[in-house]
Amino acid sequence: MPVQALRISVAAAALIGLPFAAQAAGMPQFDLTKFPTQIFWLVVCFAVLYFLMAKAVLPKIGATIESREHKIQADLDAAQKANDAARAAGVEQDKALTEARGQASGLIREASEAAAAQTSAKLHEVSDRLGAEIAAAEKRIGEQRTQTLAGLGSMSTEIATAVLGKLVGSADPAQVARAVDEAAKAGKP
Amino acid sequence: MASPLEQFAIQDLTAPLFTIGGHHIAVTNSAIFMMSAVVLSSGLLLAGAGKGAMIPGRIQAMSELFYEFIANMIRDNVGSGGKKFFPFIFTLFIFTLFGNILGMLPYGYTFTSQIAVTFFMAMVVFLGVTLIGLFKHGLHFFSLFFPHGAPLFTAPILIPIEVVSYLSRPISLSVRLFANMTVGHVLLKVLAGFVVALGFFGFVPLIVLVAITALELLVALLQAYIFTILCCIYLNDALHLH
Repeated sequence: MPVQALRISVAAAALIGLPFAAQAAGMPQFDLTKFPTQIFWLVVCFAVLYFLMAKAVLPKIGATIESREHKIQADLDAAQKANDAARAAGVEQDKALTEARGQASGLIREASEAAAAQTSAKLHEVSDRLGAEIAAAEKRIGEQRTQTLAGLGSMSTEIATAVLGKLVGSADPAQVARAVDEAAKAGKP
Repeated sequence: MASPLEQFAIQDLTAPLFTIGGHHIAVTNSAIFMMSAVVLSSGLLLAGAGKGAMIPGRIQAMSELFYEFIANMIRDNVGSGGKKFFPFIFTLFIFTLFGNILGMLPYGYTFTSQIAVTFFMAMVVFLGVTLIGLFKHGLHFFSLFFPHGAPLFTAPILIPIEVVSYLSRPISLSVRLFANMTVGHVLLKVLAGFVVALGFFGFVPLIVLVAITALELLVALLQAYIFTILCCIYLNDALHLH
């Protein structure tokens, strides 16, 4: 960089020729009579600045930075804690969900079993009742049939006796009954 | 044309206020700028420290930047035991920084371009650091002048070299700051003279002048940093002996 090179060469010239240049050009920096006043003001100003920095500025800035770091750390900790809690709650919830699901399926199974049992019991009951009714009806029909059949024999004998009585004049009921029986037997396949 | 060195002259602005050891003390142009540096820097930093808000504003952010910059510098270069010297190092940096920057203002005066100022600061640091080392380590402090692990027969050569380099610390420290500031301002003044002398073609040195002003601003910041970090390194030597 030419600017830098120029600068360095001027600096080198100034440094090498410093004592001579100071004498020749009368560099004000080497005027020893001006040293005490500069040192006096330097000490005063530096002391004032030091006092202000050490007592007022630095403790305050330091406290601010520290409290900010604490706050950030506390916030991070709180966030971590909340995250942990949320995760634990999630696990808890999953567990509860699984449990509830198991419970629900158990309930459904129980209910369907109960319903099936009830249905089959009712079915049995109904079929039993129907069976009994059918049996009773069959029995009644049978009875009526035998009754009718029995009645049929005596009715035929009566009719035959009456018919014979009209045709022949008289008839032996016992003979007629025997004849009817034989006819009935023969009529049967 | 006025000499480019005239700008460094110390001028009494008031009648002598009082006398110390036969020397008349008056308010000088240099003193005005030292006071300005104190007032401006402490005003800025007090405003920055003022509310101590959790979310800093601009001035507070800048003050905290300065604080952490120097705190980190001490942590990295001095380490343990450096915390005690934090206010001093901080003040040194701020005072030098504002001295350098205020000199860049038009009609400004650069009190850090005065060898009296830089050498006095360097001597205070040098003597302070030496005394701290002697108090902390006693006579063992002088082991600083012989590198640990060097062959014993090299002592006649090494010890004088180390002693001379140690004693030249305040000179190199003060001359570095003083020379940088002086040369920068001389250069600016000479180039400004060219701008006037060349008439119409003065715009050429003017462009260079603008560039060098930017460079000088960088040098102002850099030299304040170098002055401070060297003090930290010397302090580290005294506290921890290599």
